Amino acid sequence: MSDRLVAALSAIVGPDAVVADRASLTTYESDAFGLVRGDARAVVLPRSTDEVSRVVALCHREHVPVVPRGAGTGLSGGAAPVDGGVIVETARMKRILSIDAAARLAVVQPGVANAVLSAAARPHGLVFGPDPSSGAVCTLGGNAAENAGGPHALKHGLTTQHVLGLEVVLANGEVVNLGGAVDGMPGYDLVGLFVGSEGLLGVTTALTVRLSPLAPETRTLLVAFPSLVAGCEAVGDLIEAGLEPSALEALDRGTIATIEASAEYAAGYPLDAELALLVDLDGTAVEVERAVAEASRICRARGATEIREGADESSRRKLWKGRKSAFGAMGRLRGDVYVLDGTVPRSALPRVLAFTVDVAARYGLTICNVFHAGDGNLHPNISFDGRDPDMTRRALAAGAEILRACVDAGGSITGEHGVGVEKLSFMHWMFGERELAEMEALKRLVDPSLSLNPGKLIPSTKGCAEAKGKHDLVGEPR
Amino acid sequence: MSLREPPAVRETLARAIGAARLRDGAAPRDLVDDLLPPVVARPESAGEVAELLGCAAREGFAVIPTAGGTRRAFGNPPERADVLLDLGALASLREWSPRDGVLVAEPALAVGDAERLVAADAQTLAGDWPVRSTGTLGGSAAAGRPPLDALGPAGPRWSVIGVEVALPDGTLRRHGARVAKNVAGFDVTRLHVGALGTLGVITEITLRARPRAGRKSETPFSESNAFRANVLGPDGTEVAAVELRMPGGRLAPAEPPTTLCLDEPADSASARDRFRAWLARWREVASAANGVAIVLAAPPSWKRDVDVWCGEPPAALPLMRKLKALYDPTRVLNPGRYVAGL
Ligand SMILES: Cc1cc2nc3c(=O)[nH]c(=O)nc-3n(C[C@H](O)[C@H](O)[C@H](O)COP(=O)(O)OP(=O)(O)OC[C@H]3O[C@@H](n4cnc5c(N)ncnc54)[C@H](O)[C@@H]3O)c2cc1C
Ligand SMILES: Cc1cc2nc3c(=O)[nH]c(=O)nc-3n(C[C@H](O)[C@H](O)[C@H](O)COP(=O)(O)OP(=O)(O)OC[C@H]3O[C@@H](n4cnc5c(N)ncnc54)[C@H](O)[C@@H]3O)c2cc1C
Repeated sequence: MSDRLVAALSAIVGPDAVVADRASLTTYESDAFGLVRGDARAVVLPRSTDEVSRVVALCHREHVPVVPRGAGTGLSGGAAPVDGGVIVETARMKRILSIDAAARLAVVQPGVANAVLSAAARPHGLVFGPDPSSGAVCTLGGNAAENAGGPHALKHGLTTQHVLGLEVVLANGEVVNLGGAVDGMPGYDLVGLFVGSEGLLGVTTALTVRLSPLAPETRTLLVAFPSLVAGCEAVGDLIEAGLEPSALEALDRGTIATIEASAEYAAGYPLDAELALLVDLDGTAVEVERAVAEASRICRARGATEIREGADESSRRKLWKGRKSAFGAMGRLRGDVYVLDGTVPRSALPRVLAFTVDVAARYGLTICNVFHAGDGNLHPNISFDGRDPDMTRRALAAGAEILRACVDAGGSITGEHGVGVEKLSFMHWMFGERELAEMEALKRLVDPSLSLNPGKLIPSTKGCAEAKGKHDLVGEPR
Repeated sequence: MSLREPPAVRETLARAIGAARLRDGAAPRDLVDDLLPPVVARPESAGEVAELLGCAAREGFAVIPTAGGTRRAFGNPPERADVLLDLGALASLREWSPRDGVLVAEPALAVGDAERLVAADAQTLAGDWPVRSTGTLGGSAAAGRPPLDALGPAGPRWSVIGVEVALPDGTLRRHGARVAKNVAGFDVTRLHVGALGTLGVITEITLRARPRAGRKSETPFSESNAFRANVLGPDGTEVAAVELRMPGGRLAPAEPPTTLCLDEPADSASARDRFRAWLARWREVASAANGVAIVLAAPPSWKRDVDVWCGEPPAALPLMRKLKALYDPTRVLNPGRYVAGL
């Protein structure tokens, strides 16, 4: 039966663009959130919108689920084939279709990597705003599906503010264009609905995105604080002073120690700091000069013990190096890292951050915090050994407790990584029954047979999805 | 035309939200284009708005929400108008937290008042937002156009981070959060922003402010990507306005003219015909450049001749129809005013 499906898929995309052998399929069991897995029947690698459309239409006729996939760097299980089915991977749709520098627009296929677009835009003095730390590999289709952010989201926004138009293949194979080449096209903001919909509403086959002018000048400050609270309060002070850093990142003592312990990633960060802030200030030379002075003054007033400045590209890159490799360095601790993604209002940062320290102690776990402080977007990273079931259970329970605290502080269970499978059981902390039913109704409006990326985002549709992972993800604390 | 007689409308609504909230519509101030809704309702809570919508949906009364009234002429003329829903009593500030850069308010809080409040803390809502002091936050979210000179992230998809809406099924829904960075679930907030109140009525809005500094540093790059073309009557007053929104601000050279000067009276058939022809030419130019030409304001009789939103309906119109049917199956919210008569 599966062979018939594979043959039909091969007839559309060619046999070289279908992966169906067990050994190769294991790579596709999960995404970067390794705790949920599933077995796909096949992976297809279409080259064009038309091929995607025919593949999706075929799966629709055959009642086979379709799981869109970019680079598989998602951190919530969004691309894991938990309900089986066919994975549509965009790896062969990597063309930048056009860059219109005057209009500051690009049209791209979904498989183009985030950093590849920015590199192509740079000669025009432009950049694609969202810059997830995974930018070198993650795809623009994946960015749109997750509404990805990044260190510079504070000033330059999430993906949704940069997508003007989408070409999508709906669950029945129909191709539809949403939005266009300008903001404010007539009609409901379907682009706004589809961005962040985690592949549940359509397979994106092309995107029209905004490109932003590169700032004339950027300077970076690395500021060391003697306590978590002092550092977090400085974050609030900077914003309240009317400064708008383009990035305002934070690393705690544990993160710094981990980075510095690795020969490969060491960046010379201050080992004695409880919290270090990495602050990018951009604008015209005059503005940046003023902002740097003001930011330094504010940080000193909060007890900063050291301020280093990177004024040129190479010294800036050095200061950022540790931050960029933080996740990689953490993987060295115990092998597995559970990356949380809760958001809290800035004023709640000191309290919730202190809470993560408390949770780590109670569960006997190592939690390192490296996060988008300006946005209040926390990434507590829980190190654990996935081969140890008890430790894994503790990691999940600790994570749930922290995310619950984020919601209680008026924030969110996810700032940029999405709900996927990981946070399904946390959705009702944020939404009432009516709102969740509304999301399901929106899903059914576009995909009545629930065949696109089933088992994700909407708790009530989890139904038959049978996660292969041995860990129960319902780690809800009381 | 309403199916019901005005007295019946008023009696039925009185049972839903109380007679004290109702009055008769009076020209000219309650006119919606050239229709006069027989009843004006002024609810005093979000719950009452939901009650009213539930009742209207059951009875088939067409509801026209209004707040500041500054953009009441925007959109196609409504097919029917039974109730003018005056949101003016829902105008209080719920919260302004300068440290979080988050403002929560009832829908009829004036944009100007909100902006003054956040400006006192060196922040701004307006950097991303068209401001008019008598226009309201809810009205801006429902009817506002994205900023004309957006560079980088701006506009409602940046500013509006959460809403509470009343729906025609008589319920209230909350979407979004008090934080800007939030990707939990479908971003349902987006559907109500720019929907001109055709899916639901915004009863609370959560906005993010940004430091003023950011606003300033953007100015040197500013470059408009939308233009306003207009029609002037024989006495020089503006009779109609059209937004020309082109990628990168491209405009074709002087032709067709950005200002059409009439020498005949605006209510003449020939004026209407000239407007229609002029708009059609602009729409050709706009669509050739992947842009749009949207009528911001025009006499009702001119608007009935065209779709104010577009020449060709959007490719996703079938999906939009399904959305409208999901939220407002009996078509009671601003019926006909939205794109392609939605
Ligand atoms: C080291 C590391 C750092 C990271 N840093 C950040 C960060 O700073 N900010 C941030 O936001 N995220 C970050 N992430 C998470 C991840 O990189 C993003 O979510 C990214 O957007 C996923 O892109 P992808 O191409 O890998 O998508 P995948 O993981 O393949 O898929 C993600 C989701 O998108 C859907 N999808 C993919 N392509 C399409 C398509 N064409 N049409 C429809 N749906 C589609 C999938 O079904 C799935 O639900 C990080 C991840 C890692 C591993
Ligand atoms: C096309 C356009 C261009 C604009 N350009 C500018 C500009 O360049 N500069 C500037 O300063 N301002 C501009 N604005 C004005 C600013 O956006 C207005 O102040 C605001 O749109 C109207 O607010 P209001 O309360 O007066 O709305 P109203 O006129 O009362 O209502 C406008 C529309 O929104 C609906 N509506 C109102 N409130 C709600 C609600 N709570 N829920 C659901 N629907 C609702 C109404 O039914 C109506 O259709 C523009 C507005 C529009 C529409």
